[in-house]
Amino acid sequence: MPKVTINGKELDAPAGINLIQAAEMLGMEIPHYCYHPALTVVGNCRMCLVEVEKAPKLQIACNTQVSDGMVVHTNSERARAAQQAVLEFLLINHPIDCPVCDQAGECKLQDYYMDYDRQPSRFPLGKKNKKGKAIDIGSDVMLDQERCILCARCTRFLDEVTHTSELAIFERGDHNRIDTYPGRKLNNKYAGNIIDICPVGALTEKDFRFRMRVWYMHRTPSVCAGCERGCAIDIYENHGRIYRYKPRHNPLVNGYWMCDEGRHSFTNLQTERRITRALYQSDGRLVPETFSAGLRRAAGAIRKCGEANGARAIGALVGAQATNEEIFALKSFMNDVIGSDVIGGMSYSPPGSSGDDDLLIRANKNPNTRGLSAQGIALDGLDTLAQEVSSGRLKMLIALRADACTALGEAEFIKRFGPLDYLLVFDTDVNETAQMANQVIPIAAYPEIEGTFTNFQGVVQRLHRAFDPPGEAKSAIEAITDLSMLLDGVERPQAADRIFAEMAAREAAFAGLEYEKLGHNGLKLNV
Amino acid sequence: MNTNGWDKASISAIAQELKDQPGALMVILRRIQDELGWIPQPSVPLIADALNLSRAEVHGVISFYHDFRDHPPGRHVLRLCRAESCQAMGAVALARHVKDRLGIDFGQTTADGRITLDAVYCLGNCACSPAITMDDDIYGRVSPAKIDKLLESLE
Repeated sequence: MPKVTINGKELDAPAGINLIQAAEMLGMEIPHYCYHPALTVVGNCRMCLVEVEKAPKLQIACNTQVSDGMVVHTNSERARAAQQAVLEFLLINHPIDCPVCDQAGECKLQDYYMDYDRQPSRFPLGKKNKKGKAIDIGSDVMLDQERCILCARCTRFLDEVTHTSELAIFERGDHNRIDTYPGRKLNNKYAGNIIDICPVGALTEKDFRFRMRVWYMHRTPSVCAGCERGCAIDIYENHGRIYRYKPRHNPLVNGYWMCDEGRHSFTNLQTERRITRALYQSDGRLVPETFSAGLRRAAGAIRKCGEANGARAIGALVGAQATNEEIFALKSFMNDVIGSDVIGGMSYSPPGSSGDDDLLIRANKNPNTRGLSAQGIALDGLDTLAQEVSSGRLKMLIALRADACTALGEAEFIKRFGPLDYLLVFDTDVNETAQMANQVIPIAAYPEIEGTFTNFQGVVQRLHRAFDPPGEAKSAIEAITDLSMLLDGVERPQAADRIFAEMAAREAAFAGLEYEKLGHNGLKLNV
Repeated sequence: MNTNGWDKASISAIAQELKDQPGALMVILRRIQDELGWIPQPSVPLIADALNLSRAEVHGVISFYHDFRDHPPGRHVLRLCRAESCQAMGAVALARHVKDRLGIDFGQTTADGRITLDAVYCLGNCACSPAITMDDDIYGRVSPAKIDKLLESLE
């Protein structure tokens, strides 16, 4: 392995990596704009100039591979002078409209100006080149040509990742600008990523613009629940309101990217349909009651049904929206507390939703389909449970994150599950199944809980609780364990890590996995 | 040579003929510019299709080179050098004279469609400054009188 020295620190670097990567391995940052690890190296921003001993001129770190005996200085007088000069050059025509720029606070021009430049502008404001501002280039992306430093990250993403090339650099010299072909707009399902990789405020998100300053938001690592890919994301939130999702780098799952559909999927979590109190059916209407009253009512219904018809008259339907821990908790509840093994799963994707593509998007719109199967729950629950109902054996159904009515259509749902005596729903929204239920218990959505999803490749990734569930809603695990406490008086663990450990002990697919070791990227199932 | 008429079939034919040459995009653009005197915007999708490029990429190349026109030029193109050497030898006064005489500015075409005036920066003829080109011919040591004679000789 080549031995390089950067600012006096030695590194046995893997052959073939560049100096930016080598510096990163030593915990140092070489400033850069155009370099992105997932895109080709173009070396056009010149921000990463460093001094390499024995080389006559400064070298761009992004395009300099490590070689044995290389001695690099990123802090020398020459390097500092170059960094300052490059920044002055990049800022010549910059409009300096930070007070009204959405990128402010996470802008590399701001950051590097403070780190490497700190000199007043020698270029009069009135002489700056005027270009287009607030141009809608389609797909929720707004373009500001004046803020652009022409690093060409966006054009390279569209050339190399989506292969759609809607953006190009037009004109030349001072008149250089990024734009779409006249009359054309961005036309691909991953366009939001160019906003993320834009190091400055040239590309901003139309939906997010002017809604929240970035420094007021909290970032929580999580997993997108938009499809069975389960892209690693960061949730940006303020006081329980989500403002945006951004992809989080995970080489096992999504690389650096996510799709636009997933990026905007959080809007479904913040609708009027969220349930904040327990509900029960009375004279054809859903009437609210407290959470604990709801649980007592549910316990009563379970006891009554069990005494009248036996434990196997109670069944459960669990959707592939539930986390691994929720599935395990429900399964244990059914097996250990109620004494029934009648459990079915469902994994429903609405018709007309996007199909598999060769980048990230999957046709199955459920984040934990694989996790459901991994715990031995078949996905044909809507059929098998309907047979139990029609044969008269099944009298009560507990549905967890399982919107059977939407999946089947109202008529078919009533035909299959109408004969039930009691339908108990645990869900986040007043969906169609909830409207049909005898009772609804409000539970937390995935940004509000700890837990894990298993994606279609078998990667188990952690969710983190970004904020509290609304109103009286509790995590599904708390709801289920509280309910079991009412039934048999036994206290059971509610923490995701405890349940995960139990699951790893009892479910073969999860054997050997440890919650704390899942880390940022997750780990693969054994099978 | 400078015809403003064009049709999609002829542009497609050019693109198809040259698409396998090395650096095909420039070769095609230059041929169209040579044959038509300009590159009509509707030819961009035709070229993009032939080369499997996006329209934006083709437009990017066309807009980079000032010699590629997106509007038809006049019957004759007069290019006047404004670079250092010519400036030192009187190009500024020459430019003023030409602009006054034709009644147009750089980048414009006379109302009768006879002459388009362009600014260029060095024709490589510095030893004979100030230099101009009229269509494909280069002239050195150009005085206002010489340029008047040249303009009068044009149809």
